[in-house]
Amino acid sequence: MGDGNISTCSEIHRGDWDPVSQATVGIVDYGVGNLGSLLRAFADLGSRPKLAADVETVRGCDLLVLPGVGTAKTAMGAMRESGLQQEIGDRVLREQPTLGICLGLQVLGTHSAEGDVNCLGLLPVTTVKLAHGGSDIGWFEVQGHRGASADPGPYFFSHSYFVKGADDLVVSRKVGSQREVAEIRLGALTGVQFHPEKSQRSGRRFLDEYMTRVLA
Amino acid sequence: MKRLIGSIASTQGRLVQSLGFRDLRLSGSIDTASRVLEEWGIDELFVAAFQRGPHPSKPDRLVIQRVADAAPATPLAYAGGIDTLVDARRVLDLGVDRVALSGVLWSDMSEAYRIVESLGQESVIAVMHVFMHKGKLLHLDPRTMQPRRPGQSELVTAALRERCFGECIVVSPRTHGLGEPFDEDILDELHLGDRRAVVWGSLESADQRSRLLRRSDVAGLVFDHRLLFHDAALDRIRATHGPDEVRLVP
Repeated sequence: MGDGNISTCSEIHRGDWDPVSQATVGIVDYGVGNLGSLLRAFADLGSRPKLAADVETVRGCDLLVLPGVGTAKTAMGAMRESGLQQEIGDRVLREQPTLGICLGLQVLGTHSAEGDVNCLGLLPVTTVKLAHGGSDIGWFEVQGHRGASADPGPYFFSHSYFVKGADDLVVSRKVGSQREVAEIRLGALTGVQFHPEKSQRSGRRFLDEYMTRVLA
Repeated sequence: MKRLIGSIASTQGRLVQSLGFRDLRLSGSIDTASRVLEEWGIDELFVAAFQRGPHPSKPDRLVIQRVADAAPATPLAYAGGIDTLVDARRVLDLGVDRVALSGVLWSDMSEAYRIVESLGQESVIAVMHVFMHKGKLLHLDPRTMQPRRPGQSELVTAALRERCFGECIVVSPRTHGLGEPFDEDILDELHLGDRRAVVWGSLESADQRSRLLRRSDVAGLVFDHRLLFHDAALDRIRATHGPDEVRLVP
């Protein structure tokens, strides 16, 4: 299934489908991103992760992950160059599961103040700098509502920017400071500001629940 | 919450304990130390690959892979031989989440800024080797451990204060690993501001650990892995400080 297409994925959905262990997970490679960490995290869950740097690979994935680490300008530049910008948009229109982590969440919005760059425009949010001008690095609990994961964490955050807007789509917020968005959902699209792949037991539970929910 | 960070110091692929950054002693297994610290729920791992000599060397890929394999779900920061954006990207590919810069801060600050522009400030840490001498803060060149000229030091310190880097790991090589307390005057002299400094030291004294964790400019402490193993320090610190200050792990 690694180089398969959408119809191949659909056939498997109809059979004895284990969403966690059988899913092909594409990790978007935009030149930055903690790719090694994400590949390990999804392999650890039993799925089949691979790097996705071109349109064909993205099309063959059951779940697409836009990784964290990096700046919006760098990530958007790479996605425009590789044609992934259009493909990710088409994928979301087809309601195929897509997860943005940290920077990956921010580039799903319309615009980022980090480098003053237009983003994918798939979520009605914009990315702005944290009020204190520095970075929030550490473990924070999240407060959820409306179908959020039952586990309040804490989860590992590492960010200097956050997304604003679309309050009706927000399913959890970071506890403390300005209660920045922790998780947001729109259809098959999910974005998290924290790093589940680096949040030990809480993160593993989150990814397990997430994959079961969106791929089952 | 403040972070309790475990250091994995290595040289030539081996886990070591640093005594004053000069004497490096073999100290067990990298894989076991990393795995156990993840099992205990350490908040982050900081891998410091010691490199010797004035010439730049490259990041230790093998050590990164071993730590990332043994502790895949723990945030991983790495220092050692990251002098270019290419180096930084390669270590992220291997499993590192944040890069720590030291030598390049002195040799090529413009390249350090390029790394920040590409990775984001939160993913870049500046490592400062400093000590107090006759009431003045002196910076050391991480490759030679010789004091730097004041002009260069001011350039780096200004970049830190202007929040060009997400955090700063502050280490005093003259006391590190030698059983002496971390000189807290260093933090007063650096004036880094709110929750910007991570202190890397021996930190054997429970009183000093408590004082440091209660400082508003301290974001976390980096502990020698041996202290965490032999003193059960992690449990004691958690018990002392409680859930408002540090993360409790069930």
